[in-house]
Amino acid sequence: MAHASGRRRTGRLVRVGDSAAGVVITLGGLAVLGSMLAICVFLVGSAAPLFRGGDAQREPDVVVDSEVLPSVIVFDETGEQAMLVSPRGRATVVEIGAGHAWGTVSLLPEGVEARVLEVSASTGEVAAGFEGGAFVGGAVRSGYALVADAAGEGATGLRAVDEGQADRLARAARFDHADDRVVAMEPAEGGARVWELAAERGEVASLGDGLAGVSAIASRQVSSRERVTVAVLENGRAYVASARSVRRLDGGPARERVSVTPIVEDAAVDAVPPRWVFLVGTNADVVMVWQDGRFERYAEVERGVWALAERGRFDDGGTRLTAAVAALGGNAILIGDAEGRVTSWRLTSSEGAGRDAESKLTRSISVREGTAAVTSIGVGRRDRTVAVGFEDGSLVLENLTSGKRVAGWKGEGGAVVAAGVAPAVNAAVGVHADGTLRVWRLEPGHPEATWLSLFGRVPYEGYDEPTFVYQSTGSPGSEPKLSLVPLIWGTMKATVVAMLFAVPLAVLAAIYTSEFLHPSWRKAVKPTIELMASLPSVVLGFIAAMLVAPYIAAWLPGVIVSMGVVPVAVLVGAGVWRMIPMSTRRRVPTVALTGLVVIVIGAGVALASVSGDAIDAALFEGGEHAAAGLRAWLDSGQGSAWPGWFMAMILPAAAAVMALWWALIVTKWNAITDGMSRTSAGLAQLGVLAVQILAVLGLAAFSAWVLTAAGFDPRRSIFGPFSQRNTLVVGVVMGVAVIPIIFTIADDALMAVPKSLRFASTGCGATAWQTAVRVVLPVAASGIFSAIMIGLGRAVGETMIVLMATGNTPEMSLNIFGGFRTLAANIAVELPEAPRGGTHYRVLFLCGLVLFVMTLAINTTAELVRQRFRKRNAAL
Amino acid sequence: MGDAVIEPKKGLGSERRGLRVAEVIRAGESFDAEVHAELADEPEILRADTFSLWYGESRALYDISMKLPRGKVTALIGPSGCGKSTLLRSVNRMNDLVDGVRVDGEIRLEGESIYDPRVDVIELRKRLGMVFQKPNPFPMSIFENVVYPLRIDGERRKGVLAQACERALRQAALWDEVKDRLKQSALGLSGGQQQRLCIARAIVADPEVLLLDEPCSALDPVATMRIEELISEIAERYTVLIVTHNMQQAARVSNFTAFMYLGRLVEYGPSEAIFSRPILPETEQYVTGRFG
Ligand SMILES: Nc1ncnc2c1ncn2[C@@H]1O[C@H](COP(=O)(O)OP(=O)(O)OP(=O)(O)O)[C@@H](O)[C@H]1O
Ligand SMILES: [Mg+2]
Repeated sequence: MAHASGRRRTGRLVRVGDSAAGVVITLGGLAVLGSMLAICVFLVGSAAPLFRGGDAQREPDVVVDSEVLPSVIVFDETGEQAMLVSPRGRATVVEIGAGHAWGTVSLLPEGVEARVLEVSASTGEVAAGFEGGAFVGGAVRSGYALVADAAGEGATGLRAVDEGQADRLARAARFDHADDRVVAMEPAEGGARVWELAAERGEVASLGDGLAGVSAIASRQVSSRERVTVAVLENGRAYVASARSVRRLDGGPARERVSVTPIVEDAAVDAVPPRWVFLVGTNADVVMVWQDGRFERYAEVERGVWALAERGRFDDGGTRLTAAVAALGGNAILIGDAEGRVTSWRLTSSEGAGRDAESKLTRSISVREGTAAVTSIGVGRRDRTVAVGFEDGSLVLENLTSGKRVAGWKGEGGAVVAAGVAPAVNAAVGVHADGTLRVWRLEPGHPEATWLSLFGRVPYEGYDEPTFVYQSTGSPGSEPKLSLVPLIWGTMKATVVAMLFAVPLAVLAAIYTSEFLHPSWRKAVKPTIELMASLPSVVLGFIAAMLVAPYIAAWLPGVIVSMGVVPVAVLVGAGVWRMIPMSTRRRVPTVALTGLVVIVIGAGVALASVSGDAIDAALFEGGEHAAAGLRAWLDSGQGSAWPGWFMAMILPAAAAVMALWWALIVTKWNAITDGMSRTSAGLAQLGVLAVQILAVLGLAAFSAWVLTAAGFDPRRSIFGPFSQRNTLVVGVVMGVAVIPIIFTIADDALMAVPKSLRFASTGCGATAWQTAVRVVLPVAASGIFSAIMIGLGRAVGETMIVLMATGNTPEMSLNIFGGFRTLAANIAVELPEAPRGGTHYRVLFLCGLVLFVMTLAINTTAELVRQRFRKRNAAL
Repeated sequence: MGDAVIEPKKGLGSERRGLRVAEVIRAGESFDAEVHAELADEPEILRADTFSLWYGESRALYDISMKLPRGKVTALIGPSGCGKSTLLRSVNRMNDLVDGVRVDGEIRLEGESIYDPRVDVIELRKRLGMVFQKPNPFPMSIFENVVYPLRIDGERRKGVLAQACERALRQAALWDEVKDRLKQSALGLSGGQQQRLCIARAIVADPEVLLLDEPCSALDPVATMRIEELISEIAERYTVLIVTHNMQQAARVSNFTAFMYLGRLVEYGPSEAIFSRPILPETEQYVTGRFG
């Protein structure tokens, strides 16, 4: 094209293409950023509701008879109805949201009034004590029946139905227990709704002289056959009645046989009787609680003999206890005091104890600190959420384990005399002193999840101390335990072990290929190792589980020994190599040398696996099979700790000996060998190596002896029971997975070091190794660092290998022969079974978020370092 | 031994005047370099005997035979690509690092053949110092840069290192400029200072021969002048082989000058002879800038 002006011009098409490319690239970049942000927002959005409280919605109030205020509120399973039970045994049934009570009946036979009646909202167990010292234990199990053919038309409100009616209703509703007792019904479409109590009433026990009434009572089903009821009389005496059901020989209905045992018989005349009594713990110890904060615990030392086991206080003195209930299936007592504190107490056995004698009532959590006195505590049935009522009319719902506040409000009408929460935490009620019943429907949110329960130590039921536990789907009776710490621990453990294995290998390999290997070889080696990176991790996981794990399990001592023997074999090989004259050495081609190295390593492995048996036999009294002795040593925890320490100390001892050698002796030694011929210098070198090995073994044996003598046992830390799919397996296989990444990036970093620096160093007379260590490595250090970090990022997020090569037990130990569970594997394992939107589901998203943050932090560090590296290298 | 090769001879030039060398080379004929008679009296430290070098298939040096006078500055000149750097790198066997290099003939340092299989290359390089065209200090402190050759020899005594550093820096005429900042990075120095630092590094371990490959080509005239002064000063102590494109520089700093062309040594003699009355017309044309 001839331009008139002769000036050069950029064509229009080029300009358009240029700006189009600019737009496309900008859009692409923004899309990447945007999707990153979207993932982040999605994860945060899915996990964030965990930390929110619940929602409460007020339902119409109900007014109940303020003369017979209830003390206990029992909800049904669905949270639709609540039964308010008064201390005299009257029960009022209220429908949530209906705004009125169905009516009131007596739980006891017509005309009988209890002096004290306790109902456990968590177990439904009832105990009634009467004037004159008689008492009875039993249970109510509530349920619903929609009775189709009941004559409900005319029925309004609650009424007690007579024996015959009950029978009919029960049959119609397919309940065939003869002594079911229907206590409430309300007309409903096509029939009547019936509140049915399957009451198990025990035999009435009568005790004492008939002069003192029962002042406190508790009852508990301790086994399928036995119910224990404890009663404290006004005069301070206490009795335990054990009711065992006895099957009749003629096949008729079982009968109860009651035996009564006195616990306290010689109470002082003017002693104040305890205000509450509980049956606590697996052995149903009797705990008596006084209002001034004192408690006494009695344990059955042998059949029928009770003795005082413990005496203590529930407070620091000075405050009055105002409320106490049994919680967590009778395993804990919740105590409320006049200052508004609620504390949870549990029977814990101190370490190493055999039986109860060592048990103690200890405070597990302070649920809440209020401002007014606690007037009532209501416990749920399954969930650990409790409702706490205060004197100033406020009601608070809180989770016992996590301490999380689900909801709370303040109402008029005076103190909350009774509080209750539905089993599914979808409803709560509080009865005020003036007879107003405030009713709330709840959206509980995620009561188990708090920062503390997710990341801290939590005092779970059944654990003596607050611990980190992850157990998302416990058995029906146990609560979910959601600490992410064991998972984070597992992730770090896997990563650290894999990196310990991968980093030295990958970095040394990169140094070798970039600094020593002939360029034509490098061209072949590098793509081969990079190809390794494309190996699917599921294949590696498969190899780990099917090949590596059984191999390590079968050859454990040999595998461990080879870690020491192989490096020594290589060193010996190098020493021999040095004895060969230079001219001969130079003639050996690289391929042959590599082959020689492989042969030496193979010889080391062979030697190790041969000596593995012998070492196992010598150190661990191994049996006929190679790994038997070591495995038994690990699993049983018995035998001396010395052999384990010895093996564990070899590496540190080797490091110490080498450090000593380099720091103090090597220069002098070099001066000596300089004067020798090659062969004798090589021989001397080998001699020194032998001395060094002996020194290492000696040092390891000595330090192992010292540690054993000091009473340390490695089986409590780095060693422990052996599981086939263990940390070592994951370390090796995941190491193999990250080696290509680290190698490639490290090699690039090394190759990016300007040639001129290598020439400068070589020109000064430096060997290739000196050049690599003194010049190339420092310049490439940040690049190698970022290579390690990127490998770390990959290891942290790696899923398939850990999933397949470990037992996925979320344990927290240092044991290299133990399993673990990582965040990533946890998500993979549990997401399919987590109901959408539930606490578990959101916790899994939180796992994802934690993982995301971890890898992001690692990659960002790597990138920052690399930026710095680039800037510094620009000056070269 | 081998004196026959470097005996001053009447080469092409004396017989046929005119630009003949290129034609002879193109014709594939061999020829002997014009070596001035003055060289015969000089004691030698280094000599090459029919030394040839190939990079893979392509030959870079053709039967180079020359000797390096002890304690003198010798300049290598010649058009770009004629093999000056290759010859220099052959002396300390830096060419070993290049893939596919093959050599023939000999180079002897103090009578010892350096391409003998028994020779330890590392020891050889320790006896020679090399300075490259582009300053290449290590990314370390000035001090560490200078004492690097001692460090790799295992020297750790602080006092010895400090003394050697000061001496080398003084000889490289850099001491006064950097004595207060020895601990700072060498990358913070100017190009000229960096090059003098590289010279200090090259001489700190007392090499027998100093090899300089266009040490001033990346520097401004003032820095160049300082380096030239420096070369003249250190020439009293060391034997120097310097490659340069700058004729004035060669004339100023060197005692002897070798003119290379297309991988051959063409003319070699005292600098003032090469620059004022060369035997061959090619040399004359090159040094006067009319050819090359
Ligand atoms: N590493 C190498 N691989 C292959 N050929 C090379 C290599 N180095 C140099 N050569 C070739 O050898 C010949 C001589 O190169 P050399 O660098 O010695 O020239 P020079 O005289 O130093 O040139 P200049 O004055 O430009 O530095 C050139 O043809 C060059 O292309
Ligand atoms: Mg050059």
